[in-house]
Amino acid sequence: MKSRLSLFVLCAGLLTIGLPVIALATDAPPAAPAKSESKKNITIVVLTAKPEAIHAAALQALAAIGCEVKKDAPLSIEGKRSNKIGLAVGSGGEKLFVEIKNLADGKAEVTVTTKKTMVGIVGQKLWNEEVAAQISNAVK
Amino acid sequence: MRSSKLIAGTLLVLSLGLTGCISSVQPTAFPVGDKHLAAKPSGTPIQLFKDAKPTRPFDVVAKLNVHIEKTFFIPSAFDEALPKLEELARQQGADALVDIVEKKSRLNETFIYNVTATAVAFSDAR
Repeated sequence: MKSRLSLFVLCAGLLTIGLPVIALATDAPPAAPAKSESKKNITIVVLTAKPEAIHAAALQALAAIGCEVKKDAPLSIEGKRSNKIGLAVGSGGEKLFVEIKNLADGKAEVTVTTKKTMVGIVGQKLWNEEVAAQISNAVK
Repeated sequence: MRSSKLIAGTLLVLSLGLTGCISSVQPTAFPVGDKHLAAKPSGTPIQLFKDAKPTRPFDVVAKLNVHIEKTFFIPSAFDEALPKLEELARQQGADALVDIVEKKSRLNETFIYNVTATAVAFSDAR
């Protein structure tokens, strides 16, 4: 009986970290950043700043939310928040993508995308708006 | 009975392996400018200017960030981040920390603590 109970508890734990939602999330980066601003996990801003300045600000913004940079190129950055086990849902595991597109007149388009991953999805959050706001404030 | 325990153990190991630890500490330094100063030895005191700027002339050498997250509703505070900030400052060859900004937030059961600081080196000391 006890072992059945412990099995139930463990299964419930695994459920909270998101194993049943494998179909809803993949670890693959987005093929192309969507232009639709209606998507909650994507924030697009146009800034009057050099791509280098935006890149530097993006690195700091990602660090400020606990993102570890996995890929770093002049016009794109990929980061991931580390997974943490918790009492119920834990946290972390989100992937953040920052894409910088150079526009005319000294402007640049910045696309920040949050991608939730399957492990710990229940405790994950969309960080794109916060990161985009920090980048915007830093390059003002 | 034995197989149930085995399955339970496997699931436990699997869940722990998948989710990682209960806390993370992430210190990051972003050097400023082209001058890179030599790192200071471990234990070198770093001055803190929380509410005021130093009166001595200084150059900014880096922007520092320490990010701490803990689950299980465990909070973090400046005292925990300070050694990491000082270590980063020494690595950048800084003498002091200014513009210290703390941010606290919560995500479900996770307490998030983030502190940023500007590492500076006194120009009259070089």
